[in-house]
Amino acid sequence: MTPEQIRQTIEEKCPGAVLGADFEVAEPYLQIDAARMDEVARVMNDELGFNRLLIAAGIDFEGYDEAGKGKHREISKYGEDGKVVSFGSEGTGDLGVSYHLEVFPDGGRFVLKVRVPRSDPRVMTVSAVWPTALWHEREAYDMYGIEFTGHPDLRRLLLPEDWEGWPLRKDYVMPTEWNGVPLEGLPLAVREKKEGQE
Amino acid sequence: MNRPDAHRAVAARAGDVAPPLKSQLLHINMGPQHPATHGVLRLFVTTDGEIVNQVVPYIGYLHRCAEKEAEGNTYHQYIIYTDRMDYLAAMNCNWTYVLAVEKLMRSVGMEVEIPEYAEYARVIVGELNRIASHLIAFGTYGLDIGAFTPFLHAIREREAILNIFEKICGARLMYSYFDIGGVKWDIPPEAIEEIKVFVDLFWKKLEEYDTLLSTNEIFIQRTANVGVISPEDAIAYGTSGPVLRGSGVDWDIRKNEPYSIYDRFDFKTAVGSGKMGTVGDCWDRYKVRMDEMYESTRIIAQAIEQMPASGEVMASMPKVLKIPPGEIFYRAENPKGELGFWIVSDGGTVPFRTKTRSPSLHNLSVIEKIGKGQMISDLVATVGSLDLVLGEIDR
Repeated sequence: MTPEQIRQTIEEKCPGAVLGADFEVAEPYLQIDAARMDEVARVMNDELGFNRLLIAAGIDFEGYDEAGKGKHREISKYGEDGKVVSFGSEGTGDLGVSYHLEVFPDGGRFVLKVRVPRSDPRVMTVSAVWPTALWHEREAYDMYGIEFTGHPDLRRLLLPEDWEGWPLRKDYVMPTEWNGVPLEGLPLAVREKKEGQE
Repeated sequence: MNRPDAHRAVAARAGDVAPPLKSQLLHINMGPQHPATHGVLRLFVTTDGEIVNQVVPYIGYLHRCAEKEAEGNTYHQYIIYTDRMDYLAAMNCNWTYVLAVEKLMRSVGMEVEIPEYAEYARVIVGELNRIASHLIAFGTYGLDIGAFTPFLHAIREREAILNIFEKICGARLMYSYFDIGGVKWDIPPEAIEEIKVFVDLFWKKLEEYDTLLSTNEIFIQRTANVGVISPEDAIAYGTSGPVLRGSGVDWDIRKNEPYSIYDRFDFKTAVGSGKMGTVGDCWDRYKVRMDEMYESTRIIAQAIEQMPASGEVMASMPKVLKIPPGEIFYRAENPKGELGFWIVSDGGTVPFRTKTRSPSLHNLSVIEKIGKGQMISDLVATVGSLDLVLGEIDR
């Protein structure tokens, strides 16, 4: 099945759900309307035979270098005193989810992508179609704060339930304490400098 | 009549002669520190007497922010984090990650030609590590069920493999032997000799294991017809590796989507047959691992024979690896199942996003479904048969 056929089938069954496409890259994908992800998933599974979800992974496009040069990013920043400092500004980039699908066991892979605004990240759940998504969506919620509408059990997966913030967002600042437990995050260079001073 | 029904039948008969006893559900935390959970996994179990009503797994106790770290480290620096995912099969985790990066490089037009020698070295250490991982699975599964002896046998043979690895790369657990474009060092001649000795010895050991556990009556009673995963569930929940094959699904990426040089070897895919009970029960998953050890030994024997005596170990690679914008999802067959990496590059020296598809995570997620209605002791047998490694689930 060619990517073009997949696009035609989806456009026929869910008119207006396809927002864009790129078939020239290593993994051809369709950009889907986040509010209609469940319908498209149903068509992918029932009509096109994509019966296995490999991953559903969140992504934060904040700081993505459109120029294609890439830049060095610090995942956390520390001041002279070794305290965590904020990056200064809150991110504005979109969030996204990428679904990698497979026709099992005949082979054939395809990717669906959704992109949602950071201010209101809501995606329709696909967990009713592929049970694998139950945990993947929980993880994306845990790490990016993406709300999956209709998910039966949307809790944090890896982090404690009372954790605050969405750690894999690019503008995440590590807390200095959690429930009264100090979180030491001093990089070695800062720590050695401090010890040298004393 | 299976055991849960027997329990209810007894309760019903008792109710005929006397008013039924008042009963209520009991909530038990199995773990996070529990010998049967192979790490720090917490299963929140709701029980009705001996019967499990509901299982809710809680994970994340070993979370080390691997995906966040990936965004702050270069492609090469991240290799050591993959060691710490599935620490029982660190070689295979390294391998999948470097394969993913190499595939990403190729997809954006960079050339990576892995030398012949390095490909064979990769297969040999990868398959040795698969045996080591399955030996731990075999040994600890015996422990879960209450058989202590197999563990000692398994550890003894694993020790021989670790000694070989120590000769190859100096480490016994966290190898980081793989590098993007090849492997870090060649395999010294004395290690090759040792591998040959190990292969000759291991055929006999496999037969010994069969007499120890596979056909042991108590073991069969504890595992046959227990924790049955239907092929449909196995596919729907995304399970892979021995768990998927144990359910009778003939799927092995080494065979179905050959990567590296697996198309040069003659080996079979081990598939569950339901020989002792139902297809997809704990015994089938156990047996698939035993058969896989046999097939891995065959692959190693062939690889040693075909391997060139010497050669380059690394492709020529740029000193600073900068990958043009692109993304790839790549997966390979690990001892636990399909490990995959989704890597997004925006052109820098550091990946923009790296997501791990952990096989154990998917294998564990099915427990919510199959754990229902089991006896508590069968739940232990089922969790053990999934061969979980929490380091990889929590990342």
